Formats: sequence, C-alpha cells, structure tokens
Amino acid sequence: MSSLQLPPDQGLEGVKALYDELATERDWVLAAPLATDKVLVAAVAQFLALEARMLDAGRFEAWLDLWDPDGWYWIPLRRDSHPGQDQALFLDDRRRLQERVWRMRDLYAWGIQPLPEIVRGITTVEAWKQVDETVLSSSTLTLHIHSGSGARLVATRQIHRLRPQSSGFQIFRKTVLIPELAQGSRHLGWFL
Amino acid sequence: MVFHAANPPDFDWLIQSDRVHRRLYTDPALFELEMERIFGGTWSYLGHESEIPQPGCFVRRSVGRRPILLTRGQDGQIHGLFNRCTHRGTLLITADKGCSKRLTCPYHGWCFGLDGRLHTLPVAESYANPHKASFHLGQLQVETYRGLIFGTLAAQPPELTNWLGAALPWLDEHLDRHPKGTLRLVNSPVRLEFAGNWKLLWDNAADGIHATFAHRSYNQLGHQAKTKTILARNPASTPMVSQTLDHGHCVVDQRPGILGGPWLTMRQLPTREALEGSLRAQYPPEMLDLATGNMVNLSLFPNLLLVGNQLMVVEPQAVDRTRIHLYLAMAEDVPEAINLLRLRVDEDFVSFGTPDDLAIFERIQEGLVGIPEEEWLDISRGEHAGDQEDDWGRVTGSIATEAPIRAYWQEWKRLMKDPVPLQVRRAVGGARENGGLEGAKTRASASHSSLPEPIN
Repeated sequence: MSSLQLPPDQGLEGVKALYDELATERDWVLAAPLATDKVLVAAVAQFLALEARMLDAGRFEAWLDLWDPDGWYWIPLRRDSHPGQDQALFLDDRRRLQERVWRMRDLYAWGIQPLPEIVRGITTVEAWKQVDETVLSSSTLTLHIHSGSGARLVATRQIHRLRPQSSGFQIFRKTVLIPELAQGSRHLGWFL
Repeated sequence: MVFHAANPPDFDWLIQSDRVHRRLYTDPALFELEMERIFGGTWSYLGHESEIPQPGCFVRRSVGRRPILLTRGQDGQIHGLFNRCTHRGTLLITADKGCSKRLTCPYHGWCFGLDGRLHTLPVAESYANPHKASFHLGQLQVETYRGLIFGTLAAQPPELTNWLGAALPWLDEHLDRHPKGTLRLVNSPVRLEFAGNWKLLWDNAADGIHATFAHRSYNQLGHQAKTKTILARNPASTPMVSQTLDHGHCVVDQRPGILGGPWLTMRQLPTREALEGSLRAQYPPEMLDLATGNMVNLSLFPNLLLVGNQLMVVEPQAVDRTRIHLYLAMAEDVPEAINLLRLRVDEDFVSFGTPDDLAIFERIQEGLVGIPEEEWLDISRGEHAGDQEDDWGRVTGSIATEAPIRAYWQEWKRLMKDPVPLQVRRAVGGARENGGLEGAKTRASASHSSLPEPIN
C-alpha cells in the first residue's frame, strides 16, 4: 500500500482520497497475511507499549509528540464504515487531536472530569512492512477503566501506520475499531 | 412502588404547575406505566422512508420498549410490526437492518410476510382448525409525513398532521431548506447510553440556558478558534426564543441571535478548509449554510428531537437507563462537499458537547435517587417572568424559560391520567402471496383491542 498525505489545498478530491485510503488501509489489515517478520513485530510491540503507558499516565502532550504533524486518527462506528459515508467517533487531524488533549485538562469538561484511571492491555501484535517503508500493524487493545461510576472494560482492535524513526516510530495513521459503538455505549469522551 | 387500580398515582400532586416530583424519574412502576401509556397512546417516531427504500427492506426499532420492525412490504406499503413471533414470543429479527422476502422465526420456523401476515406454518396439520386467534403479527397504525414515519397503538389516534399541529410549519421549514424537500438518513447512527431517566433529555431539549454552563468547555474551544459558537451566547441578553407547540412539542429558534447565517457559528473541523474551499470556488457563500443545521431545535414528544442535521431518537430502556440514536440527515441534489461536511459538523458536538450533557443527566439521576428528603424539581423559570401566552395557550419565552418543560409534563399527565384505549392491529385474511398457506390453518380475526390494565 502507498501512503498519502493531504495538503491543505487538496480540495474535494484530496479529502475523498484520504477517506478512501483510511478505509482501504483498514480492510487491508483485516485481510492481511501472516506477519512473519518477528524482529519488526517485536519493535512495533515495544512502541505500542510505550504509547499505551503514556496514555495511562496522562502524559497526553508527550503522546501528541508521537504523531506525524499530518497524521489522521479514525474511530469508525462500525467495522465496515467509510469516513465519506458514515459518521465517526473520531476523524481527527492534528488540530483536532490538540483540542482533545486540551479538553483532557479542562476542569469544566464535565463529561470526563475527573479523568478515569485506565490501564491499557495490548496483545496479538502483528506488523507488516510496506513498499513505502512505513509499517502497518494490528493489535488488540483492552481498556480497563475505573471511575466514580465503577469499573468498565472496552475491547478494541487498533491499526497503526507507523513511520520508522531512528528512535523508534512515528504515528502517521491510527484506526481503532470498537465493537460496542455499533450497539450503543456510554460515551467515550475520555478516549484517546 | 406498585400501583393498584384502586389506588392509582396522584398525577396532579406529582406534576404541579411549577414543580414536579422526583418519583417521576426514579419509580420503576411509573416507568412501566409510561412505557404503556405514553409510548403506545400517542404517535412515536419510527424511522424515515429512506431507510427502507425497496420492498423487502426492514429496520429494527422500538416504541418504548416494544421491539418493532419497520418494514416495506412487497406492495410497497410501510408497516410497523411487533418483532415477536405470534407462536411463543421469540424475537424474529435481531439484525439492525436487512432485506428479505420473509421474516422467519428461528425457533419453529414460522414464516411471515413483511406485511405481517403468517405465510408458512410448519407442521400445520398439528393445529386444530379453526384457531381462536389470528397468527398474523401485531402491528401499529403507521402514518408518514414527508418521509418521516410515525406509529401508534392508540385505538383512535388523532390524524398525524393534527397531532403535529403547531409543530408542522417548523417541520416543513426544516425539510424545505433542502433542495428536494426531503432527507436521506445515514443508516449507521451514533448510539449512546446514559444512566438516567429518558425525560432528562426532554428537560434539556428546550433548555437554552444550560448551554452556557454545561457546555462551557465546548464554548471555550470555540473562543480559542475565534468562533462564537451558538451555545456561547449570553442567555440573559440573546433574542433567541423558546416556544411550546401543543402535545408536548416545542421549538427553540436560535436564528434571532445569529447574524450572518448558521455557517458562521461553526468551529474548525477536520477537512473543513479543503471542502469549504471547493464549495466557495463554485457556489455562493449561502450554500455553506446547508452544511450545518438551520439553528432551529424542534422536539416532537415523546421520542424525536431535530437538532442540527441530526434526528435524535429517544429509547427508554429502564427507569434509570436510556439510549439515544443520532441519525444524520443528508441532503439530496447538493454538491458532494455539503454532505461530507455534514458528517464532520455533527461529529463536533458529539465529541465535545454531548458527553457533558450525558454526564450531567447521570448526576441528576444520582441526586434524585439518593436523597428522598428533597422531593421536588423546580420548573418555574419564566412563568410570570417574561413568558407570553397566546390565545391558543402556547407560550413563547426567552431561551431561559422552562415553559417547554411545563408543557411536556402536561401532555405526559394527560396521557397517563386518562389513558387512551390501545389496539393491536393485525392483517385480516390469509396470506396474499402464497396459496400454500391454505394448509397453514390460520384464521383471521378482527383486530384485538385491549385497554391498559393496572399493574399489580
């Protein structure tokens, strides 16, 4: 798969191409072959653990630094959604992600304050190197959430498109599939 | 709390002109009663014609807690069927939507047409002939207004347009702003649940003053982007108005507080610049107003709120649990970028505003349940303090008024205090489409009527 960025002046066709690429990327990963590069899988697993630990610790600004400035974060409502045809929970560019991080610190964001304590567990990590040297990965992410209203478990599958860096990876795309969204769930306003 | 026929709730005490009792939000027995009398005795929104465009299409819905299948039969007619096999009560369909020639029960293979008629009955000879009752599926009475489908169990419901009444011009306006005057719903709604009573949504729907405080975080995001979001207006000085519209319906017209059109109230959105640029290059600026709502929030009691470009459908699940479905309406015959923007516009508030509403509903529920010594909720704001009542009894006030809350409670009380007779409709006669039913040994019966029974 090739990667595609969205210059600000790309217009309608650029937006549609981005949306198609997000959906295609998800579909490719869900049908991907066995991941055989064990070294790559191990390196990606380390990076995903780092990302999860940052979020668990509330280091949201540091987490933002893991992102490519042209990155996109998509959380569709259903596994077969398309960002050009369906509403999403997230369809975020860098600016929107900054707003979400700002809101995490806003004491007047009644829906998410006080922030719940969360432990993220990551399993079944797979990774595939792409022709453009980026890496696509799939993993299952389980969130154990504890707040004033009790404990809650949210199961997800996350798909990352990563750019190799000298110090690890940079997140270029991220898609999270959350099955409970299709049937109805309590709000996930605290989700990153 | 259990109510006996000889000792019904004192609705006049529970609902007073300026306050309502906490039990209306917390009492499971009252909840069961309102599922029967409110969601049954009046028109409820079921869905939109665009969701079942072809014969054989169906979507799963509910009226109160009654599971309903909204179908389009082979003859093109729309039906609101009980999603319950007439044999032993099995839910017929669990998929959200689909298309099929028949609805087949997985338990014993009973098979129904999309008009509700029993089509095939396996081992039919094991039944005596004739039967005492019809095996056709129970149905609601269904009527459609400009694509919006409503259903009721009332034996003698008012004409749908009469029930819409004073809300009708507002609904027409909502539809007429679209080039073809019609909507197409995206059939993958946002579904959210909260641990609170369903009427908390109604208390909130026309409560313009909450936006300044409950959505302070959202408004601050707007300030940071140098956008004065619609919710950030000072409630003490805005010329926006709330109005009651009979039958518990109400409207909040935010347009008097907006200069320059709805699009100017929109915050920054992902992909906004690219899509807006493509529109501005080819169309006049007013075209962009179609990408957002018309700044008129119309609420049709008991289960439909039109907010922005979304149709919010209320589904009570328990006295302290509610699910909402947010269906996005797309416009027909508009530039593609308009509908792409609509997707992003409606994700904005769901991300940064809706969680705050839902959290506050849950706080209210906790407050009402936890402290029985504090019995009353005040709903008096605006009464004798700025509200204007016209010759038809409809009240117009500032967006700080609680007149819409008082008005829907009066409709609630009317339906609960003197429940209207309910009637389950059924098809009359055998299957239309298959002579094979001849051996199915069903017998049509007249519609089954029933009055609500007291809960024991």
